[in-house]
Amino acid sequence: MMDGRGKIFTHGAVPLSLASALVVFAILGFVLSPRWLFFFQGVFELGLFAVATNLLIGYGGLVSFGQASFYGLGAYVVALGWLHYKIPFWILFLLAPVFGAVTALLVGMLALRARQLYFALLTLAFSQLFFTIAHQWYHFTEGSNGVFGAMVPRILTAPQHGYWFILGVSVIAIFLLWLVTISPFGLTLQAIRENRKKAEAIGINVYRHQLYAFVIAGAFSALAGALFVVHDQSAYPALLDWIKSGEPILMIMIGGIGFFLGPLVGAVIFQFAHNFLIEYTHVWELVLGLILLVIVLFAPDGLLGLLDSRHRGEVREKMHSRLKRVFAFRNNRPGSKR
Amino acid sequence: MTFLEVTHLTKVFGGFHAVDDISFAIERGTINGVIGPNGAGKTTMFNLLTGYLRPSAGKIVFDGVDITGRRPNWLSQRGIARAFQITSVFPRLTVLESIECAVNAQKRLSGSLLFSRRRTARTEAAELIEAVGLTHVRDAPAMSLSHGDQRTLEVTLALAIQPHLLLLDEPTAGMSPWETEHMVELVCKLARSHGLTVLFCEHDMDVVFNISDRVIVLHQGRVIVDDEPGAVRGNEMVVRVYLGEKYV
Repeated sequence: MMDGRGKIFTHGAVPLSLASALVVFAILGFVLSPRWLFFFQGVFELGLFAVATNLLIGYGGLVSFGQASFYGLGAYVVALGWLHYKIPFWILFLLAPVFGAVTALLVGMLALRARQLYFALLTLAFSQLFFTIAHQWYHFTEGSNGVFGAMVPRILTAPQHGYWFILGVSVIAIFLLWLVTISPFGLTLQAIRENRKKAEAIGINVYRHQLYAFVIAGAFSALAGALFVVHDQSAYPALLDWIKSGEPILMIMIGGIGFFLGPLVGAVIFQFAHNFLIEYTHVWELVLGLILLVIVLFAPDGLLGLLDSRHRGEVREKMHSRLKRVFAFRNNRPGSKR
Repeated sequence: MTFLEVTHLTKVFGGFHAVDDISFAIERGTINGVIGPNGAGKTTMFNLLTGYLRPSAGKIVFDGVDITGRRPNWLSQRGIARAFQITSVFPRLTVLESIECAVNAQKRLSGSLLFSRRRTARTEAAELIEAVGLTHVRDAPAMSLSHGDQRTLEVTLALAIQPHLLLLDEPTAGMSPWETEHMVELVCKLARSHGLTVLFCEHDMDVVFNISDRVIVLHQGRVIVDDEPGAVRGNEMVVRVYLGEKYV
């Protein structure tokens, strides 16, 4: 139970999976067509965003609906630094997570004063604030047009190079996040999620540790946003929108909230839906919504939850009973324990 | 030497005096029982002493420091540990992880990002788990434990922060006689060996009178008797409160 509630990816399995993914995908970089290179660029960068968000949602029990604030901020730091100040890309790239952390500190200091739904609503409010600034402050942010141009050094604009760069940075960042989850701090965060009152009783400063988590998630979300600029060479207000904040939550739910690597699986499926379903239907979000509906109803622990070998029998049983329940039209009361 | 001093402590819930002008003092290294019928204000008093409620009036002095109105985690860091009446554990953390978490908090390592820091805390947690006899469920999630084991975990979590003052709100609630005996033995043994000061409340009178150095009787938010067990047992007022007039 080291990583969240997940049992299949216990110690050693996560770094091993990450290392093998790094090697396999690095080699794949030689053979993939540009189209697939772009596809996986998106997967890596969104995967990092989702894993960072899951530090809050899965480990901390803090449902933030405003993670796009930091993601979009990371993208805008790179784009606006290039547009207005001609700061070299590499410096901006390193500045993005710093901006993310500082902003998360300020937002978190206020938002974490509230709990649960009110916390979620406050994070949503802040993200809409950032969205409005990006949208309305035309002479600085270019408004709804967004910022486009040669902000990424030429060496990274080749699809293959961009792919390797995004792959490397994402894997390293995800590995760092994994180290966070297995540290004493990661354990503290889970203890707070499990029982806030008890955590206080054993001497944990709940507010301070939640704030740490918020800052870490903010920094890594901003890093993911900076990677988006390498992927897309642009920054625009939709990156700060609440829809964007919902995306990592979708990925987490699809992949499995209790698994460190769950959000990555979710990112693959999300990106697949986004890139390929869109060719067949312009209502791809509807299809994704249906996938999510099925998962929430029949596999609430996500796709990795289905793979969890120790629970396979239990899962099958659960699915049967769920099928029966759903088709008997008996309501699942909200808040009732699964 | 006075270790914990409570003066004129009062808590009013909208006109109802749950704790009404309570004053008492506790000596270092003693075991003190609190008894009283349901609704006497025992749990409210514990909540006031551990910072979960702010007193309406009065003062609490712990080891010479005024601690009135301090937050639970602040008090915990300074050596006041508490076990709850209603079992309160970390459901999906294992026993080892739970205790480790408390050990980390005590060492001020809760925020550490270094995995290597977990080793020492882990060893210490494992030792404590063995001492209290929870080794057989060490790697099981807390929610899967039997009620008795969960109560033991509850008390162990309080012990893990190496407290100077241990507040136990009905440590044996809902336990079988065998489990109760085990728990009482455990608390006494640890209290004596570590020189802990204990304040506990309990419904089981045998437990209270057997292990306490002193017994405080609460009734309707007030201290009615505060004396040695022998004297309390024979006290007319206590019998009246518990059994009614005709038994006096």
